[in-house]
Amino acid sequence: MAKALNIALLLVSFGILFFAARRARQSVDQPRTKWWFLMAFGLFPAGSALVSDAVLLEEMKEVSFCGSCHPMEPFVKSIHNPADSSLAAVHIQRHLIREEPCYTCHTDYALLGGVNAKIRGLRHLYAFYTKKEQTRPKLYSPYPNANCLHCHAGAAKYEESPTHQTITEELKKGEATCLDCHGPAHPSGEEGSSE
Amino acid sequence: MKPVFILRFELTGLLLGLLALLFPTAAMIFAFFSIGNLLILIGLTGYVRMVLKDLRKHKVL
Repeated sequence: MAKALNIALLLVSFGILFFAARRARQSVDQPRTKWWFLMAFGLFPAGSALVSDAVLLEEMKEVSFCGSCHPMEPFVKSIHNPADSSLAAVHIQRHLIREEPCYTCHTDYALLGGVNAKIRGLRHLYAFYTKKEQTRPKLYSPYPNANCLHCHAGAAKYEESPTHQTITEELKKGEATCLDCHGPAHPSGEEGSSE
Repeated sequence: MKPVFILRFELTGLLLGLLALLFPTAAMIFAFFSIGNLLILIGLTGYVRMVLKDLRKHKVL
């Protein structure tokens, strides 16, 4: 719905731009032309750009967006593969994460966490288009336990586990990671299967 | 900046936005965020400069 409205807004902006261009040819100095300029060159393009930015930032949370780069295909294939036993695939197939699975795990749950996640995504994309070797993307920093604990901390199954109780402090300090025991998060093979 | 240049910058930027919305692949969204937004910003700056010039011409500023 937001996308359709945004496309409609862009089309209206195009129409007003062309109308203002026509008026500019006839009479630049008339006050009415200046009002058209304000709408066509100022308000509508700025508004359309802001709305498009917001809609596209939401679009960037979708799996289809992440999967539109070739190196990401094995990751996307694996999460939809019922035979896959990697952590991400298990989360999705058990419906523990129902929407936006990539974004749910790869955003930091902090102030500006979402913005940082998108900046990291753009860095990956920049590297993808500028580097000659298009290899498997890697995280820029170790995966934070806080992202797992955002959902699992406080849950009875997590809190009552004797193993978790003994290493709670190490997990909080980052001396032990969830993936040490529960990894791999994604398959290490190129074909989307766990190795 | 002449209105025709502002028109070209903003039109190209908005066109990139429309393409990114219609085909939301990583490449298109990247193009809009890096190039489209920049073109629209150049167009808006040009428009503001045009208005300021006009105001000075009429001795409002």
